[in-house]
Amino acid sequence: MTRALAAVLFALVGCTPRPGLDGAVPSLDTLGKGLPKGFLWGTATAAHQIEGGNDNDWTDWEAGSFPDGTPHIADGKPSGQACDSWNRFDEDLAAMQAMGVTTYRFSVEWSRLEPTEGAWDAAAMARYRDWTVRLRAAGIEPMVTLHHFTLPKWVAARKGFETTDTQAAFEAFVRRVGAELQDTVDFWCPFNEINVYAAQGYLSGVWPPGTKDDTALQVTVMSNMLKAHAKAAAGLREVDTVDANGDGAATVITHAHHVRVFQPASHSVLDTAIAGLTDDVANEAIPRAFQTGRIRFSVPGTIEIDEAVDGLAGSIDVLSLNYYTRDIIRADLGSAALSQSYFKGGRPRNDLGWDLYPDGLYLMLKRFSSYGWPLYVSENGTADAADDFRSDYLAQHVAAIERAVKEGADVRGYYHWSLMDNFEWAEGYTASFGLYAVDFGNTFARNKRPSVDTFTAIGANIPR
Amino acid sequence: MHALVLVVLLAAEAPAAAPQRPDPAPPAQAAAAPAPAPAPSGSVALAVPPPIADAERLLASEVTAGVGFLGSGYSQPGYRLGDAHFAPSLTGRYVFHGLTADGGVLFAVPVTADGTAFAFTASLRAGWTWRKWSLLAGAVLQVASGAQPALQVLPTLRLSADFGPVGATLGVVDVLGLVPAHLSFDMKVGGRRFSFGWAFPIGLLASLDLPVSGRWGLKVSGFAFKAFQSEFAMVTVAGTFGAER
Repeated sequence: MTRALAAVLFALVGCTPRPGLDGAVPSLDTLGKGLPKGFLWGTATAAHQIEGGNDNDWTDWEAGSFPDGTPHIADGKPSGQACDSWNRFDEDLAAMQAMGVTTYRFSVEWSRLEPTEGAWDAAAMARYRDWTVRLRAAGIEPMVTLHHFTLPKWVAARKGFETTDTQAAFEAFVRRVGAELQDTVDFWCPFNEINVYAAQGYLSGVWPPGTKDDTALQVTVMSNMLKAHAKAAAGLREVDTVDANGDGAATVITHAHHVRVFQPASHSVLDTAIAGLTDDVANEAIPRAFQTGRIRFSVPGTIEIDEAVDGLAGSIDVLSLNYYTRDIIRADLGSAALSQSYFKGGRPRNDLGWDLYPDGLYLMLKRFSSYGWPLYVSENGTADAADDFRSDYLAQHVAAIERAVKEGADVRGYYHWSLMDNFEWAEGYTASFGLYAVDFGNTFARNKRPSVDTFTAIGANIPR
Repeated sequence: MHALVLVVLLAAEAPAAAPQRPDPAPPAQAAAAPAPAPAPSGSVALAVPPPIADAERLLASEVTAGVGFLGSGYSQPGYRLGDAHFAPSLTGRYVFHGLTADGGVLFAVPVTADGTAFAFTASLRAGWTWRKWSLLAGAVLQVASGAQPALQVLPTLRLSADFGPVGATLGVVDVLGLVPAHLSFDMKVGGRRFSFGWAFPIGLLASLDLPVSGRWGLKVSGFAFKAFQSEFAMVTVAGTFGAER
């Protein structure tokens, strides 16, 4: 009651201060110097988006189309060879070294390692292991993601994370990878963006399995993935007992949590309440579950989940945030999401129309620092094929981190999405998030964009 | 209004029993009034009650112009996304032989940079006001600049009742659409009307009418409530012009 009273009084007099970080571009002479010593500075990728030659649930999805005939992938092109990184890790590593990165986040592809149930591709595993060895030799700390949106076909055929059975299969896969890489990898990320995976696959229906407007299944999938995370974390801590980087911890487990600002369109009760509910399900429910050990999802009138899960509390050591943009929320009680979301007009936008909103990163870092976990920015970047504004975007977001750090947030690393242009899921090859452009389908050459210099300059300023 | 509805409402004007609240006419005037003729035996059905003067009805015509300050937002531990708005408003109510219409407009002008959009709200309700009851229903339309969709429409309802010394009001999407639901009570204390109530789901609303002179008055009102993760609060100071006070 006291909290409610305080909240309404605060509502009367308070408005959220926005630092206005999208104004002036900070000077590259000093940007980065405000980050803590040892701050990890790197790039991020995902297996299916860069490796090429994968055969998983997305491979099937990419060949299909929606009932109205629109292809599942914006440009109609499947991932195919992607960046051919499976065969070009040398080039990827060289690109990273040229920029002075100290960390690299990438994922291992479950469907490649375990193409059918129980079968294990030792050669593929050896290649991943070789990558981690070479990264570490280059002074680059690997962060390994174990699920980044794709499923082996045999798992998808069993309904993936819609069912509870997949948890055991995923745990077994994670344990095997953990054991194989225990002496080269400490930093593990069992899942990338549980919330996005469930929303795209079961609410908007634009990713496999293409289920639309099923809010109950959406939160059921999120719940099952959180349970799988708890099992995976326990498994990793059991099998990875080698402190590969000598910092005293054999495992550092995180979740790459997609966060975005949900701004009510107007002052109206509906807009504000639904923006708050959306924020709760998308931004808050997952970290809250990691902290409390209870999965609680509430979509009024649709589904309520309140369940204690063994091993979920304490199953992450650090929280990682994937931050890109802000959504405006306008109530629409006729839709499954109860709202329409869109990007604010009159604002700088990227090639996909996303609002360039660095204030949001500051707000999220401040917000999630209240949980007490050290924080990482595990993804941040923008679609900018012409590289017109990527440098400013990067500088302003690093300024947001510096500001949060200055105000007490314990932020320990930043991963730019992405090292290079890649297969951007439903957007196909139409969205260019890379510091490096890629000559897709021809030479696959990694061509440096001017923003690489900005990235490198900031990295050079970070206290070592 | 549909003719049938009008007939029903007019029929409801007939009081089933003598008015419960004291006759507003002064004793001397009452004494001067001619005594009613006794009803002929066996002709009860012909006894037509006298019509209710608008001055005797629960609600009176009134115009209110106010300036308010509105805060809206939602919160989580360590996080609050809130915006403040300057909110001028104009509302009016017209009662004509019981037929009642009320409406108003509100402008929400964001004070916070880069927050919620400028929005315009219009409310229009119609209904009937008896001596002790009033029922109004209609719609609230809100248009927000740049919003997709721009227009938002909600139903609104207000039911008021007089229980002697205390009046009660049940409002749904009331106060120009700003309060999702409330149940409030009002009474007159020392010539000043005061109301206080519960705003759904967790909150309060209150108002105080201060007579200034003649038909002019001042009204200070406000509400504060929390709904799920969101919270709202508003204070409005308004000038009123209406019935003799």
